Amino acid sequence: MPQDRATADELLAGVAAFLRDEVLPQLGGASAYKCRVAANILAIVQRELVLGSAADRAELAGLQALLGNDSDARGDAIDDIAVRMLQALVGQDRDECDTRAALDAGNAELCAQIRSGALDDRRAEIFAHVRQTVRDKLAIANPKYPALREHGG
Amino acid sequence: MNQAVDLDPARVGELLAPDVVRHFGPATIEHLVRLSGGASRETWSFDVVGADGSRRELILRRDPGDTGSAGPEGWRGGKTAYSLDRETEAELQRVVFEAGAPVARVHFSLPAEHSLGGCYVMDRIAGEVLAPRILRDDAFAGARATMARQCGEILAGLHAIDTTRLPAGLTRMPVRALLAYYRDLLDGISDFYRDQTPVARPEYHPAFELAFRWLEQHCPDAAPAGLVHGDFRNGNFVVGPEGIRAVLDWELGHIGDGMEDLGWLCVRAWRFGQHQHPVGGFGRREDLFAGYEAAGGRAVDPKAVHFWEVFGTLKWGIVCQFQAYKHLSGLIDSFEHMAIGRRACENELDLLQLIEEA
Repeated sequence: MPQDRATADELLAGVAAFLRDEVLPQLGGASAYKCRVAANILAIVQRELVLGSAADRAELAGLQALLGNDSDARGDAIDDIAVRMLQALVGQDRDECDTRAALDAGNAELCAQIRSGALDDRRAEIFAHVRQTVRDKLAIANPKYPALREHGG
Repeated sequence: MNQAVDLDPARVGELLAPDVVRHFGPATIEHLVRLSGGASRETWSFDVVGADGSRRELILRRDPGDTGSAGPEGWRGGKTAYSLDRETEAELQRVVFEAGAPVARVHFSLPAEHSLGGCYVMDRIAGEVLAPRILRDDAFAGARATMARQCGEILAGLHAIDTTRLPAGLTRMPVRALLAYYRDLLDGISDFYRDQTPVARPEYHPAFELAFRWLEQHCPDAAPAGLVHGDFRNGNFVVGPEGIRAVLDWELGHIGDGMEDLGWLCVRAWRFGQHQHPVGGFGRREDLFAGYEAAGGRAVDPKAVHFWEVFGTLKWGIVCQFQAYKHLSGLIDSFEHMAIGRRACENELDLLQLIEEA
């Protein structure tokens, strides 16, 4: 059942504006710094509410594409639980799976395989997946963070 | 462990006075104020005025409460396991001062059992410490033009110090030991979140795994061992219009590969947005390397520095997580530290690019 208005997003926006426009001007020093951090945290949560579940779904799809079908065949240092969860994910309707558990299982396997060197020969596709995941995290945590570009260094 | 947390200036002055007199002779303390600075260290500025009216401008660096060096619990206590306590840090600073490095002269140190906690008193060097000002103010334009080369010269001097003269408390942290330490930190924080927080989920960082994998495959194992400052970057320099006057904050000093300092100085976080100047936001790598070699440092292999830049970016990313851990584990009460945890992904983006450029 939907909650009454306002939405979580709208509530956070209201509180963030209060902190920035009314509280912050009255503060100085360490308190002003903390107030700016607090408003920034609310903005992060707001972006996560809007973008978070799509980012999770995209990450899961990416993990499946990388690991989903032949995880048994690889067999390198794979966590048993991770395998079971991935099998459940591949074999069943995705909606029935707990996205978070599946993400954890997939990431556990991805990390273990990177660590063991099992994915050394698939560098390009691994990098593409990880870069997209990182970009999706940054879109929530700090959308202004620019890609690294050096001139003359 | 001392419990002398949150002392007011009057109390600090009272506790400090007997040792000031013991060291300098009859004198009074004036203008004692706490300077803003790190959360784990307190820095106090004060003057000592002798009976003859002579004035010394000094700094007191102390640990509030029991935040000295890491205890037997290692990083789980909230401190970098290889960091130095204040007495050892003071001793290290004395050694590098005698070697001619730009560093404040230490007058005396007090043990952890002292009512002030572990602390030491050193000369106060006038100048600017805030990195954004050093990087943007017109007054430091001349300094910025010379600092990359000067950093190379200073580091060459530090790395050449005879290791037998260094305090016994310094940890040997060659590259594999550093990788193992930060590996343990990354895994340990994740295990803590899984086992000891209500969310009960581990934390996964495939980008950090790619960085670890790359670092293990490119390890400069044969590097000579020497003194490493461990946090040599803008923010730990006292700067005047002519350049760097003093290097601060020696608590992460260790024995390892000197190229670690050169790479750390190039890590993106320390450019404070000035990415056109890869060395600390102020200079060029060529000048850093030339200064290092001209001052007697070993020939710089840019690939080795790049290795340490990748390592430093990974380290800073894991340290961002460590800041969140300190709050989430209840070691400190600071919601700002939680927000720093959300900056780990900035380093992940940088790492992917740094590795791909290699």
